[in-house]
Amino acid sequence: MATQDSEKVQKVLLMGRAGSGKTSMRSIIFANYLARDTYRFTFTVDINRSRVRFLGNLVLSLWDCGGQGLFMEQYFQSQKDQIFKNVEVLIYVFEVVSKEPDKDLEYYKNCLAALEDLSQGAKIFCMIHKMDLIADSMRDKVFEQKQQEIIDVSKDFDVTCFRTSIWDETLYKAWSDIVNILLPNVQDLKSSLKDFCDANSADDVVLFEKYTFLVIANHDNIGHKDDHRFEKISNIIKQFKLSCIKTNFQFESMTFKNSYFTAFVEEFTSSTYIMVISSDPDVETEAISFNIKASRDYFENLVTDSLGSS
Amino acid sequence: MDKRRGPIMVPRESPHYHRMRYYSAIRKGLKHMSQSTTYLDVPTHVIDDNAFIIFQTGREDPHDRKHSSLSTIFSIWNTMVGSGLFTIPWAFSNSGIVLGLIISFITFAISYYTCSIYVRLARNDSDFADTMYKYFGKKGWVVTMIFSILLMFSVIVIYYELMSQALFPVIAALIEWGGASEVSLDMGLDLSRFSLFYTCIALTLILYPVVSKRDISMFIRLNSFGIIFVCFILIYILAYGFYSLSNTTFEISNEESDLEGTTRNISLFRNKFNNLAGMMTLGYYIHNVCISIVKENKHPENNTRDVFIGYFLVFLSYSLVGSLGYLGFSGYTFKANIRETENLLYMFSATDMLAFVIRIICFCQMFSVYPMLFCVIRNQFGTIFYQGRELSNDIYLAFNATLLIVATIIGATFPKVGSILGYVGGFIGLGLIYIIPISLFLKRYKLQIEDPNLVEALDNNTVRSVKRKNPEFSPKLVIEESSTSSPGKQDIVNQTSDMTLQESLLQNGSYKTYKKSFLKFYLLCVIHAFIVLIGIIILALQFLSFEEW
Repeated sequence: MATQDSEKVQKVLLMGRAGSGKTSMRSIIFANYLARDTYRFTFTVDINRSRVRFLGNLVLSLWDCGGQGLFMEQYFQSQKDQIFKNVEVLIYVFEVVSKEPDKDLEYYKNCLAALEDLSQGAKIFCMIHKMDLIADSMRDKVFEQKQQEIIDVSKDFDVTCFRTSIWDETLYKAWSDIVNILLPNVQDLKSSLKDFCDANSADDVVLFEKYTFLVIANHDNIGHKDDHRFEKISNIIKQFKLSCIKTNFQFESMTFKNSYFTAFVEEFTSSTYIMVISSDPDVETEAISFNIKASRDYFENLVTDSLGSS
Repeated sequence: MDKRRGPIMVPRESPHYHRMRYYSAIRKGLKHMSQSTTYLDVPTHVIDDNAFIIFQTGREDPHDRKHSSLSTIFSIWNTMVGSGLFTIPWAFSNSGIVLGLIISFITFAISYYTCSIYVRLARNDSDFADTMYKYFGKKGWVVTMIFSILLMFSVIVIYYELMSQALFPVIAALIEWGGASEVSLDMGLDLSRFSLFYTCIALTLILYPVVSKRDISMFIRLNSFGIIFVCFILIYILAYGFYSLSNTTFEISNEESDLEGTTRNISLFRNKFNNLAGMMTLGYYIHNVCISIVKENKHPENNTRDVFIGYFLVFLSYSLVGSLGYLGFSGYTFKANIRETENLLYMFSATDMLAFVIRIICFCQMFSVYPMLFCVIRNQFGTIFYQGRELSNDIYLAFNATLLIVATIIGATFPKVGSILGYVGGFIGLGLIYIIPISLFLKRYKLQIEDPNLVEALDNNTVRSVKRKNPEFSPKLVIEESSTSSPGKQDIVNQTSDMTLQESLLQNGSYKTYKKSFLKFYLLCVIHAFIVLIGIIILALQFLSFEEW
């Protein structure tokens, strides 16, 4: 049964050494309570709790590399097939202030070797994490240095590096960039969103990824000065989601009305949420709601297409 | 709980705000599931600096003070007396000895008086501009800072001139001893041959890297040797005075001396005392520095006494140097007229051995002080224009370069140190020594009558300013509750009272004593107006000159 699972499911691996910040990263991006890394003593028991969905039918699982004692290493080796088959994306987290940078690269190389055998087409993203611990003036230099080291080790693989920290906007940006890379037909989405926006005489339409509220595409008719607005909205909604979880309810949609504007945040396709903002008082808000429901199928196909071709 | 501190709030528009709230929701949720919650705790390097309490240097523990009275007096004397001594005999020659002593005494008295105002009123403030801010608000602060920075700029120019004029003969002497023909010590602008102009260029090139050095600890150590140099200079001038007394016959007359003869004329009263007046004003100025010197005094109750003694010593020094220097350098050994040479050292030829050494000593003394002058003016500049942030590297270098270039231009084209001292002393002295301290004193006096509690709170720095609802009014001053002597008394005091003055007086005391105090206040205003008048006259005199009486 385990082998069947690993054949069907498309995976995103979030890997790195223990303490590199993967867990906090995952909690923050996915609004999901997970304080400890998962130790898979029995594969099936942990399946539902530990896996998070990403971009529709991708499943993200988190793995520690190296350390943790002999038991963990052996298990990792023996379960290599399970872990590294059907991998779409590898997100590897390096801790920039690591005490054993050579060992870090070694474990990274091992992961790449496994991928080479089992999932050749995988996309690799490297996060150089905890950048806030480096002084401002040194950050560019340190990042370029580490990036070069990683690229040297990665041989034929196409690797994209990001510098991140959970204490500023870089984390959100990096993950948003990853989403954009994984959806190469973003332009089609954007133009469809534009049509949708014009049809509704709306000010702003944003397509968010369902589980992370990372921005997939957006269109706005008024210029915006605040570059951080997507992260702010994402944080607000995720915080609300967490309060919903406490009450055992799931967040489904939100309608926000005041004298300046009306905002809809609704489940859209199977992997997206849509946010529509309208400030024109002449537009009937019910009409917008109706339009959202009506366009679901169209966008469902569009999004699946773009995912499928990646 | 300390009521004066509120929670540090991140502004809502900042992306931090929502991020932090979200993270704390995650943390709370984990606590709910009884899991470890030390992760996602905000690390200290991410926290806004405002959340940390900054140690205020203005509120030191009095037990930290180290210096004895003697050390304080000595610092005061050392700060005021410097290489400017060389221009005083010239000023005395233009004013006459007796008149010179009188003017010196008057400026000493007034300067000491206003300096003591500073010392008494500034208390624990680290800078006089802060005291002005307390009593006069932003305008007071701005005016004080402008005058201070102008003063510092003038000092930079004057020191530059003195340095270039000390260096010029030294280089000339070296050239002559190297075998070239005699180099004229004329200070006119001459580009064809080695002159003051080229000395200035050379000096600027040497100075630029020196003043741009960020680490000035070396210069602070060098500066402590400066006092030896000053002593040398003093002894030198006084010695010459005594020497001339012994070998020249002096006659009292206002006529020009016959430079060929052996008798020399000494004036007692002359009408060209304007330069001396301006120069003396600047000579007795240590007002803003005084606060930092006096703060280190082990027994602060002796502050005014120590300042007085320091000032008196300076008065003695100036008087001796002025009179004996005038006598000494009018001696028959000199063929130059002292009335024309603003800088004493120019009475000697370049190759005179003793003068050569003294010039080098002067140069060294000023050179050791120079980088610190730049440090001070950069701080002032930073405080005024950059809210105290550090200057970026480009601005830092550009600022130094601009100052040096301006100093070079002035030094090469207008090398009359005495006149500059006069103008600067007149103008800035009027502001910093006359008007500002006196207006501060009078304002406080008036406030003392109207509202003693506010004055006490201002002295102890227990006031905050609170913005009013109507932004057109100036901020309200609120005394913090912990400082009022009577508990439970709500002391919210306005600069423009809500309650009429009469009503508040009826609360505090009788109307009659209030009126009497006000009469005394007006009397003080009139007296002090005279002092300010003297200051204005001194400034005016720099630009006028009387005909011979």
